[in-house]
Amino acid sequence: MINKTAPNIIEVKHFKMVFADKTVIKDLSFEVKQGETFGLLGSNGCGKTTTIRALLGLYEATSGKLLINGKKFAPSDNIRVGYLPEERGLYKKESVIDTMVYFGRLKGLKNPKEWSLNYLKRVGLEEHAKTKISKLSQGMQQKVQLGITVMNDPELLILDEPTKGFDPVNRKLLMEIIEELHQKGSTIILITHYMDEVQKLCDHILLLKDGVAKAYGTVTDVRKKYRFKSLDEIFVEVYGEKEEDAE
Amino acid sequence: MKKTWEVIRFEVMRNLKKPSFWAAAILVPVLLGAYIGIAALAGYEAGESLEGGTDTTEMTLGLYDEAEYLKITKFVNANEEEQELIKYDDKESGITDVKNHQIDVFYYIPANFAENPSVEIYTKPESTSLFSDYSAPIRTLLTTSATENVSPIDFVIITGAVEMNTTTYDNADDHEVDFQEIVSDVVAPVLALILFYLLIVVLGNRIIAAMTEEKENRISELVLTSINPTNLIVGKIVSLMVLGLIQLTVLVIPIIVLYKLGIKYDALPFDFELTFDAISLTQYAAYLIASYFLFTSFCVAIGAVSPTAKDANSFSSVIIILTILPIFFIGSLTTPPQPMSYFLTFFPPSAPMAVMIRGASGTLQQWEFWVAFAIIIVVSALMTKLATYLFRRNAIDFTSKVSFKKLFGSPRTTWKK
Repeated sequence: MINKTAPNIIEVKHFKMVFADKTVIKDLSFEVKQGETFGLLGSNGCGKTTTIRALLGLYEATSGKLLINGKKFAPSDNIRVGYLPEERGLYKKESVIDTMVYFGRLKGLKNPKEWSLNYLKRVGLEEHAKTKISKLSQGMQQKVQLGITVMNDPELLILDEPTKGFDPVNRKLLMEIIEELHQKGSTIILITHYMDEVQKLCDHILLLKDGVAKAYGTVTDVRKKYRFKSLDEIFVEVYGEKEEDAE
Repeated sequence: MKKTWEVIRFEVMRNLKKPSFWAAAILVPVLLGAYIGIAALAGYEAGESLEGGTDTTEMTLGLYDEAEYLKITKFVNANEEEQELIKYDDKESGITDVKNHQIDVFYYIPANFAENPSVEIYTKPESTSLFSDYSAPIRTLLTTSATENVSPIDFVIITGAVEMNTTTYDNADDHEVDFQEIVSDVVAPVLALILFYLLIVVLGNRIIAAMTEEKENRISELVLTSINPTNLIVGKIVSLMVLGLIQLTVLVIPIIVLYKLGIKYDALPFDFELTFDAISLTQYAAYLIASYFLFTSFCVAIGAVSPTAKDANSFSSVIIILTILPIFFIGSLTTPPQPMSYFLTFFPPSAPMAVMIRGASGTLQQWEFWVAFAIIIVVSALMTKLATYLFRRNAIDFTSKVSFKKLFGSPRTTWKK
C-alpha cells in the first residue's frame, strides 16, 4: 500500500545525459517515496542503467538534479544503499568470506563476519565460506553478490536487472529478500524486463523511451492510460515502435 | 579514513596470503643475485686472474730497488713477451712519475727488505677498482731472484709471503685513495639502486593488476557505492607502499646476513669492514621510498585508465623503460657531468636510478640530490592526484581502450569527500 504522505527519498528533476554526441536522456523527472517499490522500465539501451549510475554519482549528469534524501549521493552519506548492478562480479581470487567481510566493513557493519556466516548458512553456502569465488558456480556467485548487496540492511535498494541469469532457486531467494526488505520499510528501485515481477512488486513505474518518460505513475494509472492492457502488452506497444536516440 | 584503512588492510592481507607474492619476493632477488654472481665471476676470471692479478702488458712499470735485492728487472708478461721495469734512483721520483702519469706502476723495495720483506706499490689508474692487483710482475722478479739466492728471506719470497702494500692515487687531487671510504660511501646508493630495481621487477605488474582488478572483475560499481574513489585509490596506493616496504625487508635481511657471514668467513671481495654513514643511509632510504612512490603513482595512473591489466601493459612498459633508462647511459652518469647526466637526473621517471648511479660513482653533488628528491616528491603527488581524477572518470569503463579523448572527455563521477 502506498503511503502518499511519505517523504521523497529520490528526486530526479530535468535530468539530461549526453555522451559525446549522443543524447541518452533528454529530460527526465520522477520521484520515489520512502518505502515504495519503483519500477524503472524500458528496452535495452534506453538509459535505465545510465539514470541509476547518475543517481549514484557514478556518472555526472549533463544537467538536472538527481537527489537521494535531498542531496547528491556520496558513499560517505548516512543513508544505507544496496546496489546490485547489471555489470556484476566479485574478486575472483578471494575467498567468499574474505570478500563478504571486506564489503561488510566498507558498508560499516559492526560484525561483518557473523552476518556473512549467517547469510551463507541461510543460502546453503556455509561450506563454501573459504572457497575461492572463482571455484563457485554462477548461481553460487549470484547468491554472494546478493548477500553483499543487502548486508547493510539498505534503506534504499537498487536492483538493475536482478534476475538476469538467475536460476529459479536464486530468483525465489531474491524475491523473498525483496519482500523482507519491503516489509521493513526499505525503498526499492527495480529495473527489469519481467513484467510479472513488476506487476507483483511495484507500486509506481516509469516507462523510459527516447530519453523521456513515456508513462509514469502507479501500475493502475499506467494500465488505465493504455486501456487496461496487461503490462506485457503495454511494453510491446510502447517499445515495438522504433526508438530515436538511445544509448 | 576508516574505509581507506579497510582497503589497505584488505589489499595487504590478501597479497601476503598469496604464495606468488612470497615466491616473487624471494625468488627474484635470489635469481638476480645468482646472475650477478656468475657474471661477476666470469668477468673477474676473464680480465683479472686471481693468481696473476691485473694484466700489466700495456703498462709502463718503474722500480727503485733500495735493497738491491733483484738480480734482474725483466720478466715475461701475459703476452709471453719480455717486459722490463724502468729503474729509478729514488723513491720520490718514481711516485712523482706515477702521479704525472709518466709511468703506470712504481715498485719500491725498501732498504730493510731482508728484515721486513714488504714491497710498496704506487699507482694512479684511470679508474680505481677493488680488484686491481699490480703485484704480479714484482712477485715474478722477486721469485726469480730468490731462486738464485736461497737464504731465509729467499724462502719467504719463494713461498709468496712477501707483503705487498699498494698505494693508489686519486686522479682529481693526487690524494691517496681510501678503498674503505669509497666502498662505505657507495653502500647506500648501491643498495638503494639494487632494491629499487628489484621492487620494480617484483611489484610492477602487481601495481597494475591492483588498479585494474575492479574493472576486470566488473566489481567497480559495487565497490564505488560503498567507498568514494579517492579513498579507494589512496588505500590502494598506501597498501602498495606497505607491500613494497615488506618486500624491501625481505630483500635487506639476506643482504645483511650475507654481509655478516662474509665478514665471519673472510669471504668479502675486500679486506676491510664497511663503515655505515647513518646520514647517507637515511638519505637514500628516504629517496628509495620516494622513488617507489613515484613509480607506483605512474603505474596507478596507467591502471586507472586501462580496462584490463593487459591493456595497461604497453603503457607500463614505457614507464619501466624510462625508469631504467639510466642503466643504458651508465657511462655518461659515472663520468664528470654532461648534459645527458643532468637530463636523466632531473627527468622524473629516470631521476630515481640516475641519482642512485651517480651517487654510487661519486659524480653527484648534494644540491643535485635534493633537487631530484624535490622533483620526485612533487611529481608523485601530482601523479597521484591525476590518477585519482582519471580513476573517477574511468572507474566503470569496462571495455573501451585507452584514448586521450576518453581520458578527459567521458562523464565522470561526482563524489566529493
